[in-house]
Amino acid sequence: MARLTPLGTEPAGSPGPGGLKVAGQNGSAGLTIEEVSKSFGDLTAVNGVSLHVEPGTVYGLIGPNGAGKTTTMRMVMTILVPDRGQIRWNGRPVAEVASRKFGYLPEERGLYPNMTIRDQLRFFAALHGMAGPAVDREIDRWIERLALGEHAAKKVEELSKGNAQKVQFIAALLHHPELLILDEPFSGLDPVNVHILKNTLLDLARNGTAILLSTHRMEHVEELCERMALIKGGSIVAEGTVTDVRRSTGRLRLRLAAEPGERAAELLASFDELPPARPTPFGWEVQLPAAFRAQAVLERALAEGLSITRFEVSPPSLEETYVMLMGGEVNGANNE
Amino acid sequence: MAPITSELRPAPAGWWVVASREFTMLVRNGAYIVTTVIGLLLLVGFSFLPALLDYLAARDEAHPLKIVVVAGPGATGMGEDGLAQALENALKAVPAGFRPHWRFVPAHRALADLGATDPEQAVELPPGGDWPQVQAKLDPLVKQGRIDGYLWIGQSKEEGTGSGQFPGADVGAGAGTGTKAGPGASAGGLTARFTRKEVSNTDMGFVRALVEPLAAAERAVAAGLSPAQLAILNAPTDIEVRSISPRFSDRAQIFSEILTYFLLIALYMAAVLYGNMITMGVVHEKSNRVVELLVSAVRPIHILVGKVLGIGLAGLLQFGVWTAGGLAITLFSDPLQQFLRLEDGSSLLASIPLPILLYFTVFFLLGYFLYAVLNAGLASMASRVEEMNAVIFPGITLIMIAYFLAFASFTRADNPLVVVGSLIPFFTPMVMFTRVILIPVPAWQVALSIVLTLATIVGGLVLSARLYHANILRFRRVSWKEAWRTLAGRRAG
Repeated sequence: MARLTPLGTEPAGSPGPGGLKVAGQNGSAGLTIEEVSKSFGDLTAVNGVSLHVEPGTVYGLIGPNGAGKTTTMRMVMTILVPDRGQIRWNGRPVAEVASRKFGYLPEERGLYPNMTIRDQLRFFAALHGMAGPAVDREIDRWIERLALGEHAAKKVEELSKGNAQKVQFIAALLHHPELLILDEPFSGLDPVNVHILKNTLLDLARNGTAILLSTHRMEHVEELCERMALIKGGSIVAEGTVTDVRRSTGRLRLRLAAEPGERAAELLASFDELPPARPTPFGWEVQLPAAFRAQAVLERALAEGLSITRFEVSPPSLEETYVMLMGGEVNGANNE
Repeated sequence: MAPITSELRPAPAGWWVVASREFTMLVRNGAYIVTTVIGLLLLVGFSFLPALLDYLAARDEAHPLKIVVVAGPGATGMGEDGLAQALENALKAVPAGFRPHWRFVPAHRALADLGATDPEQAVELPPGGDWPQVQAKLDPLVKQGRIDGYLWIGQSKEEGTGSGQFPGADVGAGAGTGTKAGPGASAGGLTARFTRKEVSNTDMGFVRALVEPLAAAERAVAAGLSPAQLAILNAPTDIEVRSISPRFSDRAQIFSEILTYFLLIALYMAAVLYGNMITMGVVHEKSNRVVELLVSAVRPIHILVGKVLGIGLAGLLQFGVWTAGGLAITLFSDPLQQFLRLEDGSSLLASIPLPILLYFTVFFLLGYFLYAVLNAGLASMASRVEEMNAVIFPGITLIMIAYFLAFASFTRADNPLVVVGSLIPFFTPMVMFTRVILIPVPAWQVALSIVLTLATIVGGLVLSARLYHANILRFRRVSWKEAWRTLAGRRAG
């Protein structure tokens, strides 16, 4: 299968030159979830989920509400106990390490309303086993970095929702967790804060933190996540890099542009196997049937002496993939 | 990222972190500080109560009421001086403690004294002591407070002898209203009229007790008895008053009973108020969702233990402040009493006897922990403050039963129901506490009740933690059926 032009959107979160990729080969470094299931009464919330998050990478869990994302995260945090399956961190059961080595931002945000930001953060650091002057300096550093400086002495009840969320985010990572679990970290944040948070996450990953996050926003996944899983009804329906997931449908689309433009449409129409093409800003686009050889289009174009300005064979966008895989249950996707 | 430096010292265990937070937040709370201070003031006030009562009694003793004695027509052969003397003697014969603080002064002397201090307002009584005239002269003096009261004794003209009306003394608030001095009753022809600004309920009895012997002697002499026979007739009878129940046998007993009431109420309040704080804490953490962060860092049983300990320590601190206040009063009671010029040291300032203090501490802790653990588990069944009352009523009901049982034990501390109740853990802290202070309770019963309660606290903690763990992420009202299933051990999620 030929690919003449590179994919437009490689994950932006790929480790840079200073990135740490620790011992990915033996598969035991980082978080390993193996065939985990969890039911509540008659409802199967999570059904045989397996995934692996390597240190220094961001892993995205995508799926409609009720797909099992939060339940999976709660099981990693040992708040819930799986009915079946195993969850390990660097080869050890999570129950031994979760409280010290993991940081957690729950989907349901909550802090003590009548405590000041500083007291609150000290309390959560202590809960995770950290105290002392160094913690205070860490708190100051994070308050500075997340632009909370003017609110530091305020009580949480006086803060806006977005600011309270940032405080909770700090609470999740003050103790230098090796694994950060963020349930919908971007919901409720304005674009500036989303930007600050994204950069913070990328920095953390560069410094070796493994991050497992859930979101409804495809662009966040494409920008941040090395790997991802599409989860539906408690089961993973696609897993891998963003590219892997986009390819998982087995579908490819062809974008063709020529001079003059309508020649491209005529060329595509000359293939009986192809469905009708539709115009896009990038030229004419057509879904390729499974056994179709895209190369054939290029060959015929050359033979006809067509002046081609774009020939691109690529899997569908993540959003299109999501819609295809989730079928009718496109619930809450892309609108927070 | 900053490296983990040596300055980063490991924090204490999770339950301790939770406990310190609860403690700090509570101790900084305004209501807590106010309660502590008010409690301390009440305690100091209570300690000075006996001293105050004694002081008031001593003041009465030092300043008896001046009762002017007026001899009316045909009173006795004794005359005013003799009459006053006889009444004084009769007064002295009444045992101290039952005796009114009065002083009898013959009218002519009292009026002479008054005239000497203020000649302008000198008053003279007409000779013969005719009642209407005496009344007209002396009532204003009583009204003005120059004398405290007067007692007129004489032959009643209007009345026949032994007419069947009130015999002995005629007591009226004559000067107060000017109308109450109705017709005097007579016995053997003698009438006594007692006048004060406001007569008290006991005055009638006192006057009768004092005047009757005089009247009797008068009649006896009239009937022809010799002085020797009269002496035999009037030979004093020794009267002794005793209580055979251990209660109220002495002052210390009364004091310890009042104290026990107070402490029982304190136990009840501690169980209800501190228990309520636990409940509120658990429900609030659930309703504002901070609980999910907590359970991600600390095991549920640690959260529970931390909460109960933290609030318990704040309660103990409050109790400690009060105890220290009490001890300070005891320690400094001698200098204080000298300062207040009170005589007869130790008994005047009330201090809590050490055994009572010890029992109170033990049962305070047992009661607090028992109900705190119970409340924490129950509270986890609510997800909002509005649902709280619906889930904690079993705890409230138990506390109420304990409270009423404890009150029942004040009257019958050895009633079988009370004895059994004092051994049931949920009632022990109040009922056993009351019993053990009021009557001697076999040591094995005390020990057994404490052991049973401790075992219930530990068992309750385990069950509560299980309930708490299961309910913590159920952000809705949990039904009793679900709670039962959780406790029975079936996994509920």
